[in-house]
Amino acid sequence: MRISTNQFHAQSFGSINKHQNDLLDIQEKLSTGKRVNKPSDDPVASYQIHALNRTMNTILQYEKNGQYAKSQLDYEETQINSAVDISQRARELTIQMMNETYTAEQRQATAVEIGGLINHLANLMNSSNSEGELLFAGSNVGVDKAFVVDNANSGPLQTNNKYFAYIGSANAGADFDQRANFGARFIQIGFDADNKVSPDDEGDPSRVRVTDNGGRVFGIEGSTSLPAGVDKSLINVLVQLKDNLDQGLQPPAEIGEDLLSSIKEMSVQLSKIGSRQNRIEAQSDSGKAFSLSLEERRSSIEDQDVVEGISQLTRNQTALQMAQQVFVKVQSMSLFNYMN
Amino acid sequence: MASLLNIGASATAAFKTAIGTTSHNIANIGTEGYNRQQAKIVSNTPSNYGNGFVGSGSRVNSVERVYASYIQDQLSSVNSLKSRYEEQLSLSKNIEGIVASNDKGVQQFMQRLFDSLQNLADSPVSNTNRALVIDEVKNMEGFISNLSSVLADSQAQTNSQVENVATEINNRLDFIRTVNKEVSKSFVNGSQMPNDLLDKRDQAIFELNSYMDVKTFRQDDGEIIVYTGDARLPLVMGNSVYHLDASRTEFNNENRTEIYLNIAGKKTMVSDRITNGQLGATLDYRTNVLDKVMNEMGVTLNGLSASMNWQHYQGYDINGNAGQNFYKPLNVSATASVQNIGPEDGTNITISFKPDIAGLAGFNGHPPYNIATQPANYGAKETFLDTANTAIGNFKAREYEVRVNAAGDFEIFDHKEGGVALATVAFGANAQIDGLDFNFNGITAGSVTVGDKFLIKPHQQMLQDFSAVINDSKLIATRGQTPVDANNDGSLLDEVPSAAAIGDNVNMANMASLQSKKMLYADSSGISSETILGSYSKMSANLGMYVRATDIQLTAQNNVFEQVSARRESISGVSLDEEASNLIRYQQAYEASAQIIQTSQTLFQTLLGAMN
Repeated sequence: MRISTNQFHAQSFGSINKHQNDLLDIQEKLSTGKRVNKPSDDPVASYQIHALNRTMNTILQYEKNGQYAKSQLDYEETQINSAVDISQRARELTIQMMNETYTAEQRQATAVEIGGLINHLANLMNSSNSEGELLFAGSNVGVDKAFVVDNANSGPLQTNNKYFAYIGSANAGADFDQRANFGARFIQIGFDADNKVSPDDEGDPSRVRVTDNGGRVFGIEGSTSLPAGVDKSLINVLVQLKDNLDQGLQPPAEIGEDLLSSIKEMSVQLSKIGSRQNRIEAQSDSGKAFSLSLEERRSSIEDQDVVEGISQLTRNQTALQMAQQVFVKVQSMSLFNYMN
Repeated sequence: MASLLNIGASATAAFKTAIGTTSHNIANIGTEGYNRQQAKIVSNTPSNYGNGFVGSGSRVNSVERVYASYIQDQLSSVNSLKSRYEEQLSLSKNIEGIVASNDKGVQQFMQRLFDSLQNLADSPVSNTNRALVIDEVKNMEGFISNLSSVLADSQAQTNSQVENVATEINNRLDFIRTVNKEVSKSFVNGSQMPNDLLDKRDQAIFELNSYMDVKTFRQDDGEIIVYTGDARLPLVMGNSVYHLDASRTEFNNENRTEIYLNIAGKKTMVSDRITNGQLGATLDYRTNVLDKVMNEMGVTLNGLSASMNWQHYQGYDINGNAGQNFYKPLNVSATASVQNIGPEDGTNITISFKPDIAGLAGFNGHPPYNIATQPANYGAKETFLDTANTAIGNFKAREYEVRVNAAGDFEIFDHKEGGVALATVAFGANAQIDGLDFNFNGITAGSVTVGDKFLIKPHQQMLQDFSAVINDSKLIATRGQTPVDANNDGSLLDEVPSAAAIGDNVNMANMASLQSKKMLYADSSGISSETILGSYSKMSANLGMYVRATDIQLTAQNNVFEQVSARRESISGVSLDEEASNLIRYQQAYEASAQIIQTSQTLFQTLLGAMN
């Protein structure tokens, strides 16, 4: 076959060009550490990488949600624990005061301590988080107080003593809002099957509840010590107790019983909160494990194998050097060199 | 002796020409499209001396170019493919870089937007979280507007590229015709073919092929006829040149340059006939990359804005008012063809996202809702939302063409595919097509005529129009329907729509969930297959596949080109070594021929000396 001079050039240039392109390609992969730098490097992989990144980012966001929910629940737990302590103390005092050896004066002195407990408890029940949201007002986080003074039912009491009413109870008067009996704030901590949450306050397995309504948390369902119509709640039992002691009366046994059942009910609430915290923990752990395996998968799809890359780089480098040397050698060959 | 002198003289002349040809070859080693030439030396007619023939030297019969037309033709057509894929690769890589970078881009901004919605769902009354949502919404909007202006620029660039290439093509066509004339003149005169001119014509055809694919036919008189790649329409024939006409399409505001040919007074669109070369590449890239990317991006954005808006309508803001538009809802009008007879300019044909809920139970008005238009109950409101979500799933990355049919009704076609009408809408009516509401209510009688055409690109338009309308963070509707079951029947569906308490996050949680919800590209059974972000990834993967396929094609065509080019070089290329040896050969022959003259003179002198 005839070989034209241009062919030498074209071939040499072609192979140098090819090796340079290969070198550039592997250089990009090695310098970014990624095998897939743009979709065309591997379109199928790039779609998978997108999907994996999306899932990992979402898990990360769920993790953040979980942390927020946990801090909220931790706070709630602390407040309820304090309420349990108050309830314990009140029960001790009640049992003590039921003892007939105490005088009316001594009972009245105890009433002062109970008054302090009531104020403390009222503060707890109306406490709010860092965002200024009430902890125990259900979804009505923006109102002034979750528990307001129940003037309507307080008639039989001593003048200084007032019953309290939860804003979700009709006793709250002007502050009454039925919606306060629901705490429909659920925070997403995992992937949801239907990506939808309903307003029915029941939530779903992928979400955890962070708002509770105080009526339920501090309520005493089977309370027997309170007169009819009054909210059946811990604080009202304490008010009732104080009212008795203020009058120097021996507190009735029902009060002690109510306090005991309030402690029990709050323990149930605490265990609910605990189980929510456990769910967050468990979800976060499994999210991390899932993320890890996703990350591994992403890395196997997207990342450049460094050893392979470097050997390829060396190979391409050698090939380019060869091509350049061949070019120089071939170019110097010409019959004209021998003519004189 | 006289013959000896003649032989010497003719031989020196012949070898001088041969040396000249060799030098010409050497001189043109760098000339594109040059074919090596050979001086054909033949022996002169011998003289008859009665007893036999005596040779009378040599002469150059012709200087021919060493050339194989079939290889040249093959080379030209392979070149057409090669330059197509080269151009296609560089254009599409550019867009790939803009749109589909893995690290930055829509992907990231959307993720951040949804993260901010999740944060707001965690703590719906937090002013910081609310403000953050507005920030992220604006950030994404800013990014999208950058992106869409870059894409719009690319469209404008494509137009001017098409125009420039058309000019180059027309220049080549003119040149080919000029050479054709010269060649047929030589043919008529019976003189030798102008080799270098033929080379230039071949080179012009070669270059023409790198701009667009053409078919050439060689005529007996040396003329070359040029047709379009599908051999249907002539470009150069006889004395005529049919210039490509790069001009705007018939649709007024489309602002898109296509290629036309004026044949026998009729302007015909020929863009579809051009598949290869730079022009073919540019046209293919425009249809299969730029348009596709813009339409698919548009579907993603339409999906985002429609689904966010509708979920937002379901909720209530800080003040307890129903959620309003989050993003500016889709609302585009058509553009008319210049050939339309009727005066309608298309502005009365509007396309919007307006799901067909008016006929459903409990309907009191289209959203965004106010107190009067809230549906009769929460159940109806949810049904409306489902209807809207189904419509979103029906979005297709298409452009639509409306044609007025003989009955005066409107037929709606896929603008690119043509084919069967997608739907026919009666005059003055409206209809749901691919999840969008096509509304012809505003058209006045007599303003459209049979055959009138209109064009609508709802998804490309969205890319330009995409903007958030929510500015006040207090107006973000975080809370949903109240959980209070007023009639205590265990179901909320029959309750009058009303806001939950301020700390409720149901609506924001549902908005945030749109990230993971499959909203787009429903299959035949109506089940959506892609999330909003997923549809973006799909678009980017499609783009990647195009680039990759082009790259593979280019490698293949480069190899073919190299092969064919090697064959051409092998036949027609100049080899300096060969020319060097020829140079030596002819030089020696020239010297020997000169020696013949010398000898003839010596003989003559000898003769003269003998006479003394």
